[in-house]
Formats: sequence, structure tokens, C-alpha cells
Amino acid sequence: MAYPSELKYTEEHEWVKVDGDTVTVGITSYAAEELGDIVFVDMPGAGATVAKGDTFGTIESVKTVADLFAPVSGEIVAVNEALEDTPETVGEDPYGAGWIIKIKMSDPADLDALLSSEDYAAKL
Amino acid sequence: MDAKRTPLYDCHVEEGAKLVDFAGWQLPVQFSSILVEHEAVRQRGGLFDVSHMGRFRVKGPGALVSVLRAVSSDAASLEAGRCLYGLLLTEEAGIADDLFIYSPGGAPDELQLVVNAGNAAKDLALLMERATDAEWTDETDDTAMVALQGPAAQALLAPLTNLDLGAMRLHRFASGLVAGVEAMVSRTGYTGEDGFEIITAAGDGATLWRALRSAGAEPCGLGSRDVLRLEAAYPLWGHEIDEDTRPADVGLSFACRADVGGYIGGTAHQAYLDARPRKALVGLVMNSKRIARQGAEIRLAGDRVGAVTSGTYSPHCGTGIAMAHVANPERKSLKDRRAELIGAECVCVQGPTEIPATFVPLPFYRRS
Repeated sequence: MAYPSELKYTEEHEWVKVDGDTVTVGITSYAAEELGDIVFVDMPGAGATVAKGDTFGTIESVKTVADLFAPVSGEIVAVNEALEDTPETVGEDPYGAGWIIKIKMSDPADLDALLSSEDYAAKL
Repeated sequence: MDAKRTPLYDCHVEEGAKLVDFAGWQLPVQFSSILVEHEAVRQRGGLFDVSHMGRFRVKGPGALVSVLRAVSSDAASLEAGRCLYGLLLTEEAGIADDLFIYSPGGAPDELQLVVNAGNAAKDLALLMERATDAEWTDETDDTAMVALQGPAAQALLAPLTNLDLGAMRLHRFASGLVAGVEAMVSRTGYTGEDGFEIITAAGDGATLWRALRSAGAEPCGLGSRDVLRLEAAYPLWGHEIDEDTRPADVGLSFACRADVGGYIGGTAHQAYLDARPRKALVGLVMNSKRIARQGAEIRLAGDRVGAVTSGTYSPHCGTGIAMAHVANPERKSLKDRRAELIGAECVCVQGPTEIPATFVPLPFYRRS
């Protein structure tokens, strides 16, 4: 299973792509595989603020439900609205079209706690 | 203790199945995806490894009498080649397990049982304790068992066997050759579709599995099996039924024969049925995209009335579905308690999440 090296990771099996002061967040291919068929992604609307570690949404699969945790603090500036109709994209293309939210960071130092691709893979 | 491997373990590894520990066995939870496998069974033919289920045989002059004493249904009515659903009850009529009884010869000196894997050891101990002039043997490890389920099941299996499947009606079985190996084939299943369950010697299991795969049966795991049985509203032990649940609570009184003095738990069952059940098994469909799972609390007009016993996403309904136990404080009949709830809206409380749902009739799926 691939964990792209340009991304950062959390122990909750999310990936973070940094672009200036904004990050894109999704779930890893490991998480997608564990969840199986994804049937619903519950996300807040853009404009909500989140604190690092907070639950910001949930993913329902046929098998189970998983919480989504904010990897950094900040304001949600975009949500992947396409997931409303095609939640399965999260499982099919977790690092691409299956992204979940974008957060404008309030404290870029939050990134320091994230894992590299190697460190994440080593924890699995 | 490490989880046991079924005789089909190598087949699953070859196919790249995702394996999980279930009731002490390593079994495929899925091969491709739960949704794909669900569709395979509803539209075509799916193949499950169910070798984990307990397979027992009882022999001796007291075999039938022992089963009649231990199990709720009327094993005495079984002609050769017929099988019957039944319940193993506690003295208080709690459901210790549900099972199938098979009569190979229609004679009182030999019967076979298939029971749930997680209860197999407990069941065998109970059956031995309740036996007189009869010897129980556990054939689970010596045999393999698969379920071939779906509208194409008969067409897939027919070219591989010398048995006349067209003449085999529901809950009938026969022994013959399948893919060149000796097998016992029954028209039974746990998916809501037509289909067969096939038992063969452990050493022949892989031959049977590979032949059915080559014939076009699609491999399916426990994940899709759970969705399929829930759509068909079949109870699962540890969810809808357990030792704190009685047949009358869940619509299983049909499996309890009239001669209630003749089996353990029968008298308690009848008294409870006469007084009417304290709880009722009901169906729910979710009114949001969230899905209530086992343990979610059910609130009706603000009052806690029960809990979800199983919940999943139903491809057939296109939404989340659940079965649940709800209280029956006025001790109505199960039928009347269900009828008064149908159409009512409730809330399933799962941690911080409140999921609106509506009571609906069971089953969620019935094959046309």
C-alpha cells in the first residue's frame, strides 16, 4: 500500500497536504481498505472552525463507522461536496478525488506533530 | 488461542481475501467488496465458506429422543432427507442457540445438527447433558461446509453433480457427488435467496470450492453475509437472539412444538408466550444517511424504549436498516406490538449522534 512521501500523516490514519497556510485532509489507503465500502461522509460546512484533535466528521461504511479528527486547528475553507453523491470516491481515490476538507491553519506549528510517510508506515 | 483455519484457508489466501478472526476461526470478511458480493448473491451466485459452523452427529437408539428433549422443534416429523430449524433453549426458555436438524435416514437412531460456531462447544455440552442412549460426535474439524447462494445457484451447481437439484425442495437434502467428491447438499441458506449448503470431507473442501469458483460462483465473505441476512431479517445469535431473549420476543415461537412438556425450556416458553412477551423484535429504516449499529439506544417520544441489535447499510433499501429490541410494557402480542409501531418515528442515539428512523415491517427484503 502506498503512502505518498509528499504528504504528512496522523496516527488516526489521515493524510495532510500542505499548501502555504492551508492543508488538504483525507484518509489513507490503509484506512480506506479497513473501512471497506464507504456509503456516507458526514462533514461540517465551510466556515466552521476546528481545534486540532477534534472530531469534525464521520465516515459510514457498510461495515462500520469512523470518526474524522482535525489534524490541525483552523477554519474549514472548503469541503469536498462531490462526496455527497459519490462517497465511494474516498475509498477509490483516497489521495486524489477522495480528499475530504481543506483547513486554513491558525497555528502552522501544528504540523510539527504530524508523521512522515515512513513513520506512518512503520506504525501500521 | 490462535484462531483455527478452515479446510478452505489456502483457497482464501490464493484469492487474496481479507481474513478476520470470527468465533475462533480465521475467515474471509470480504474478497472484493461487501457491495459487490451482496450483488453477486442477489443477482447471480455467491459462494461462502461456512466451515466454522458446528456440525454434530448423534447416533444410538436414543438419538431422536435425545434431540426431542434438547431441541424445540419437531424432529420426530422428519422424513429421510429433510431438515428443520430449531432452538436449543435454557430451562427458562432463553435461546441458547438456533440450529438446523438433519435426518439422513428418517430413522430414530441417527440425526445431524448444524449450529453456530461461537456456541458450538456450549451446545455440544448441553446436547450431551440432555442425551440418553445416544452418542454425540463433533464432525466440524473433519468436514468443510460451503454455501452457494443466489438465483443462479441451481444452474451453477447442476452440471457438477449427479443429484436432481430440480426435485430438491426447500429444507430437503441428499448425498451424492459434487465435483467428483462425496457431499451432502441441502437446499438451505442464510441470505434470503435460493441456494444450497454443501458439506464434504475436510480434505475434499478445496476441490469443491475451486470447482464451484470455476463454474462461476463468486467468492463472498462474512461482511456481505451479514448484510444479506439482515435484509432478510434472519436473527443472528449474539444480536437478535441470546439467552436473555425468548422465542416469543423475536417471532420464533413457530420453531417451538406444541408438546411443550417434551423439551427443555418448553413449559417456560409456553407460560411466557401466554403472558405475552416483554420485548419485541422490530425493524427500522434510517431517515438520515447515518446508520445505527448494535447498542444504539432507541428513544420514542423522548423515552428510552430499546436498543438496536444489528444495523448496516442495505443496498436493497438504499439506506441504513436495523433490527432492534423494544420494550412491550403492556404485554401485547408480538404481532400487535409490531403493528402499533409500524410507521412511527423514533431516534437512535449512538454516542453523540442522534439518527432519526422509522419502524417498518420485517423483512426488508423478500425475493420475488
